[in-house]
Order: sequence, then C-alpha cells, then structure tokens
Amino acid sequence: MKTKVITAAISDEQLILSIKGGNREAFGELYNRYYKKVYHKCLSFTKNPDEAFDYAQESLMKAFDHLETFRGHASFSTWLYTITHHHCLAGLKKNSRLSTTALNEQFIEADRNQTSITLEETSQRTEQETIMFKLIDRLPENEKQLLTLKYQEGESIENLQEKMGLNSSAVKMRLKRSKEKLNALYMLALTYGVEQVLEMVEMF
Amino acid sequence: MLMAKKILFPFSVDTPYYEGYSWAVELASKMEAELWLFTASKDKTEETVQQIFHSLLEAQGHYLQLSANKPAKVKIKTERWIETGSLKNALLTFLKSNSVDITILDSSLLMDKQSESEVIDFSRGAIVLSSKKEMTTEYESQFYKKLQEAELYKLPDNFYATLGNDHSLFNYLRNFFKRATD
Repeated sequence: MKTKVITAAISDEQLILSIKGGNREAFGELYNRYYKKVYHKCLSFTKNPDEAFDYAQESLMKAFDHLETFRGHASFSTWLYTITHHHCLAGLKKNSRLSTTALNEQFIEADRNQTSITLEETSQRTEQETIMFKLIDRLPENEKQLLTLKYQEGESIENLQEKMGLNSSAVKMRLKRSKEKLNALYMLALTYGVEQVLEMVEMF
Repeated sequence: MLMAKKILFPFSVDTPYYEGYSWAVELASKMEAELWLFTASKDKTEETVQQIFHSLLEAQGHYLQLSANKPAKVKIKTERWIETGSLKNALLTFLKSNSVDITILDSSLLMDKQSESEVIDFSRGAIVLSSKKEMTTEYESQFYKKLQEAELYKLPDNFYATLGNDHSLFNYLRNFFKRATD
C-alpha cells in the first residue's frame, strides 16, 4: 500500500479537506503540529503538568473528534486554541480554581507577554481581535462601553466606578457577565460564522 | 459478577508503544473502565515529566487517527502514574499495593518471560499482546484480531460477556464468516 507523504508545506486547511476525504495520514500530520502547543496552553492555565495533560487530552479529543464542525471562518489554530481556552476555563471554574480576579490576571499577564509573541500568534490574535471587536460592537451600549473602557482604554476599576456611578462589586460583576457572554458568542462565531451570530446577539 | 473497572497499561517512552496504547484505550472504552497509564523514568524532573506527557499525547493522536471513522467513541478516564527506577521493579511494587482488574502487557516492553510471569502473578487479570502487526486496515477487525492473538490470563467473569454485547464484535464475526463461505 502506497503511503502518501505529507509535508509541512501543506496548510492546515488543506489538511482538513484531506481528512474529510478520509486521509488518515493528514489527520496525524495536523494533530502532530498542535498537540504540544495545546498542552503548553493548558499548562499556562493550570500551572500543573498532570492537570494540563487532562485538559489537553480532552481539548484535543473534542477538536479532532469533531473536525467536521470546523467551518473555516477562522484559522484552524484559532479554532483549536479557542476550544482549548474555553475547556480550561470551564474546568478551572468548575473546580472553583478561577475567580474574577484570576481572570483579570490572565488578561494582565497576556499584555505583559506581548513582546514575546511570535509572528504566527500575532496573526492569530489579529484574526481573533477582528472577530472579537465585531461582537463587542453589537453589544448593548452600556456593556460595550464597559468592556471598551476596561480593555481598550485600560481604565482601572476605581475609574470605572466613578464614570459609571457604580460600586466596585457592581463593576466587577458586570465585567464578569459581559466577558462570559462575549466568550460564548465568540465560540458560536467560530462554529457558525460571525455574521450569523451578529444577528443573534440581541437574544443573549 | 466482578466488573473490570481498572485497566493498567505499563509503557516506556523509549519504545514504540502506540499500537498497544490504542488497543488498551479501545478495550477500556468497550469495558467502560478507567485506564491507568504507568511508566518509570530515571528521574521526575520537569523536563522528564514533560517528555512523558508529550509522548502520551502523541500516542493519543495515533489512537484518534486509527479510530477516525469510528462513530461515538466512549470518553474514558485516564490516570497517569510516573515512578522512578526500573520499570519492571516499579510495576511489581505498584501491583502489590494497588488493585487493578486487568494489566495489559504490550510487546514493546520487551519483558523476559520470568518478568512477565511475575507481573501476571501479581495482577488480578492480564492480557499479553502479540508483537504481530495486523495487516487489516479495518479498525474493529484490528482490535479483535489482536485479542485473538493475545495470551489471556485470569480475566474477570464479565470480560467476555461485556465484549459479547459489543455490536462491533457481531460485525467482525459476520464479516469473518462471510469471508469463510465466499
């Protein structure tokens, strides 16, 4: 039986087309490109190798067992890392290991690490950001304002309290709810397409 | 009836164990059992542990690749045990103090017959996989052919009953008889 040789030059999207056509070698090639990165993303959340392995195993299983749901609206890596990100967050929240403070720290850490982001990650973030800002733009005005002030303008919780006439707990709770809503919308956008989800934003 | 709920798969990252791992995962899936993955290394530094986890994830990729067209996989729980020292000694120590229903010994472990016998003695049940490479590409046929060629020891009562309820076994046997009468 002749074995096709898959080279690194073939794009992820071409591999997926090949996988959907029944090519198992393409499946192996795609998996091998990402499993280590997924593990290290999980490790950055959990700080525990054993737990990171569990999350990585489950995230990879989720993604690779459902490749047929990948629509190609975002890059494959963005899709995969989003599944990983959400799986880790959900798992850590379930184990009560993630508080709102910790979520904020994740964003702060991400900002600090900006200088070490590779070209590949930069283009992923651009794509992610484009989808994210489209979704933010459709949110109700008060939610949009809160998220923009906090994450685009970099306003502190104290300043937001003053600007919005709310106490600290109220600001933090609204931020938490808006982020959770945005995360859910983002996942839907990756699965069904941004345009379809934009029409549904009012329902959330 | 004794239910097989814990299956142990010892492995070494320095050997080609992916086929055996895939078979063990499939068995755990059919028996709805927990799969315990056991290995030993010279140390447990961050680098060594990372190497082991990378290897296990790669093994999982191999399993997913083999079973790509299989519908509705049962999600199984795995536990990882990483000990230090020689794999054989660590495994025997582990078996003496942990209750495992079935130990799967893959040919990649290259255990001598005496070591193999010791592991079997300390296991409640054991399956020793053959090193023979299956030529069929059909996933379920591969599983049952490998079972056919394995050596089975002290397996729990429900082992055959559980596999007997598996629909893919029926399909395997039906295809086997069809080939025999063609």
